[in-house]
Amino acid sequence: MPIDIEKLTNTLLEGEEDHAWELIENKAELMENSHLTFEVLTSAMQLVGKLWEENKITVADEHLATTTCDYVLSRYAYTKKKSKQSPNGKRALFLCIDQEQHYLGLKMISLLFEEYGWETRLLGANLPLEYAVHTVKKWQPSVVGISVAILYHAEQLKNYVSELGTLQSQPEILVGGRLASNYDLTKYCSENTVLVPGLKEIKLWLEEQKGDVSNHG
Amino acid sequence: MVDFTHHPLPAFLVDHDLNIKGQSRLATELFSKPDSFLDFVDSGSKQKALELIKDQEEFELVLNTVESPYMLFKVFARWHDGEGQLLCVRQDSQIMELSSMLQMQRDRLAETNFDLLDKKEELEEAMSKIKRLSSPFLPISSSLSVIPLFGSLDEELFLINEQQLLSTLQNGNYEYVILDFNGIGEIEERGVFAFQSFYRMIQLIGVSPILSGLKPQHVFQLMENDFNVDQTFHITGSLKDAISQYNLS
Ligand code: B12
Repeated sequence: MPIDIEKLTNTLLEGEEDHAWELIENKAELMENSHLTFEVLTSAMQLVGKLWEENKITVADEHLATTTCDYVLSRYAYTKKKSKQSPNGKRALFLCIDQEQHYLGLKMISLLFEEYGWETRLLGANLPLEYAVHTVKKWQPSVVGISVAILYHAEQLKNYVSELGTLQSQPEILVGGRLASNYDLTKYCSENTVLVPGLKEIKLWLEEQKGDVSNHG
Repeated sequence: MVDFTHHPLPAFLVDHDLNIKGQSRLATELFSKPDSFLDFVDSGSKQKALELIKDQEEFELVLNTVESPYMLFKVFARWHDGEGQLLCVRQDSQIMELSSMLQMQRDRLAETNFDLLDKKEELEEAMSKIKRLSSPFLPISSSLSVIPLFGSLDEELFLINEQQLLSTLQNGNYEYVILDFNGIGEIEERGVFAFQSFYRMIQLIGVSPILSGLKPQHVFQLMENDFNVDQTFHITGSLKDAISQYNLS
């Protein structure tokens, strides 16, 4: 890791958003490479989870760390806006399923897509299926990215995948999040669903898509 | 033994292996009648429960309740003679409140247009330009020059201009420099310190500084901040007076 994760985690837990930002901003490597920055922030949030398991912090602290991390992400995205690739004309919609509040990962993925020239909409946490369906019908994205972190939400995921799969526009469905990284979710998905365990895989996927675009001229 | 049925909180009495020996009515309402405490601990909290339950008195766990598959609780554990009393206090309502506050903050954040940051930087740059123009240098004769100060007397005014002014003064071999306060409005405390050091440096390079255009309120503010307006300073009335006096001498 290019920076001290423990230090970063502490600034997140203390709500020191400016300090956290400086840690990122001062590393040229991170400012150049979003993928690396998201990896670093993911590790920091995972460390937050570990500290909770060790009874060193409470969920209230996790909330503050989340807000601070979110700020850093937004600021990062803003700074990187200038270096975005030219629009590729494709749309991607991102959402967390109903009751799912863990949206940080989803936000990272949506930012990554933007950088690759996609037009994105981040519907964020806790999106009831009917809204998801409604938005897909109206906005016609070619990709819908779904995030799940809590084990009990796996059953729900099944409904999302099958319902969105029946829509006429046939968006490609990507499923990611903590559950996709830690469990085999195949039985909750359909044949066409793409399960994405983490950042590495999504980057590969994005690169592949880029290839596709240029092939079609 | 404590009567657990009427305990005012959801409470359990467990043995060494966390098998439930007794529970309060509230505990039954929330968790029904499990055999073991671990039966209703969420998978993500199990490890934590196992590691802490015997040697810490207070910790958070996510528990499955009759109503919800995951709910956050603070658990208080007391052990005595191989028996444990476990009290479970729900955290969700408090957390929800906090969470909604944070949600608001997050929404505000989303609105915080980072363009503002850019604007701020632009503004700072413009300010710095203005400051640079706020202390031009006017050579009056081979031995006399004037630095008319404008704006508010703050630290930055000197930070930005000091070096350049000093080197101009030194290269020009001036004898006197008039620092004209006519255009100065506010005097800031830190500005006084910066001014004092600027003043000393002028003296150090062998130029005599003269203050002009001081308003009574300026003198007052300078003195209040320990600037010695004493005999060693040349203070004259208006800039015009100062120039005619020192241009002749
Ligand atoms: C921070 C946090 C929270 C924050 C929310 C953060 C947020 N808004 O994102 C808050 C405090 C709100 C929270 C609340 C809760 N949490 Co919580 N939380 C965590 C924690 C500590 C870190 C999660 C995180 O931010 N990770 C960092 C992100 C960036 O990683 P990620 O989501 O995996 O995303 C990466 C990839 O998966 C990928 N990805 C993500 N989404 C997608 C989508 C697509 C399409 C693709 C391609 C890729 C992709 O991109 C990311 C890149 O690195 C975890 C612990 C852990 N070890 O994960 C617990 C954890 C997930 N939470 C848990 C629980 C139980 C809860 C609560 C129910 C109880 C509680 N603790 O109060 C509540 C309720 C939330 C709800 N209803 O959804 C449990 C889940 C257990 C389980 N049985 O599944 C965990 C594991 C903690 C634990 N050990 O008990 N939590």
